[in-house]
Amino acid sequence: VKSDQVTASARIVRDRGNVQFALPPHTTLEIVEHPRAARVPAAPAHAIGLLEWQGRRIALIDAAALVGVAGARTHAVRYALVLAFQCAAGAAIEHGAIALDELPETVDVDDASACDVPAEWRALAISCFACEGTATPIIDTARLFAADRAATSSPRPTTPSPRP
Amino acid sequence: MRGNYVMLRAGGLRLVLPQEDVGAAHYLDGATVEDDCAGYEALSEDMKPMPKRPRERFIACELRGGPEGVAWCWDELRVLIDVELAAFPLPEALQGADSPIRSYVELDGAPAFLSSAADVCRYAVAAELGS
Repeated sequence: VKSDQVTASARIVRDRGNVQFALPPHTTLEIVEHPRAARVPAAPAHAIGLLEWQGRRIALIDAAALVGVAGARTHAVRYALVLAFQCAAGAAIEHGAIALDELPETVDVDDASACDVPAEWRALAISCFACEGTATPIIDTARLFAADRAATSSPRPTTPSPRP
Repeated sequence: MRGNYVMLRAGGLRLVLPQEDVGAAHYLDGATVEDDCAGYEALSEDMKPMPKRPRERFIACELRGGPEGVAWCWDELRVLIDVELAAFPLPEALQGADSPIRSYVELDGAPAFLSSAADVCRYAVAAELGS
């Protein structure tokens, strides 16, 4: 990264060996090791269950299964990454979690590394950058947890403001 | 919400239904466990009918709005009389499009899922027809 380029941080998460995407760092709150989620009947394939977190239960989902780049998870979840999101500007902040096999990594990203969003991530991604040769979509956390992703894919404020 | 409910358990599946949706329970004795059990249905933890009723599903009851003459079998049936339950909405990300589950309550430190007998039966029958 050149010194005159504007950079921003991104939290890269990797799952299932070859699934890679990024999240705005201010939306990532906490890692839960070996999360135990209560299974929900009649849930979609990407739903892992209800995760107890800070005195409430939040959704734990499999992002790779959600977009169809991996099948339903059959192995135990190693980590849950708790995320914050807003369904609309000014709405209350909500929380959900995604399953991960590896701990996230923070990287600096600049405009020069921008690239096209892979087709399977378009409903969830707000932009994309190349990281070590891999297209890495930056995910809108609200779209991850929305029931109707088609309806929420239009541009709108969906991530909470950075915490001070 | 306050009222009379029934908690029905099938393995890890725990449903809470209004008491008026659940018919009188009867126990299946050892003589019927090994039978084909026509007229009895058991649900998996994913709320889909199982090909055979597991031995531990020994409490049977009819459900209002379900198929005529079919009794549904459970591991446990608990009547909750005049109980105050706090219902929490199920996160959207965990709701299947055709799921009869939209909320849950905390019961004994774990979630139990609220629905109606008619909706549970409708989902189970549709799942059976679709399989």
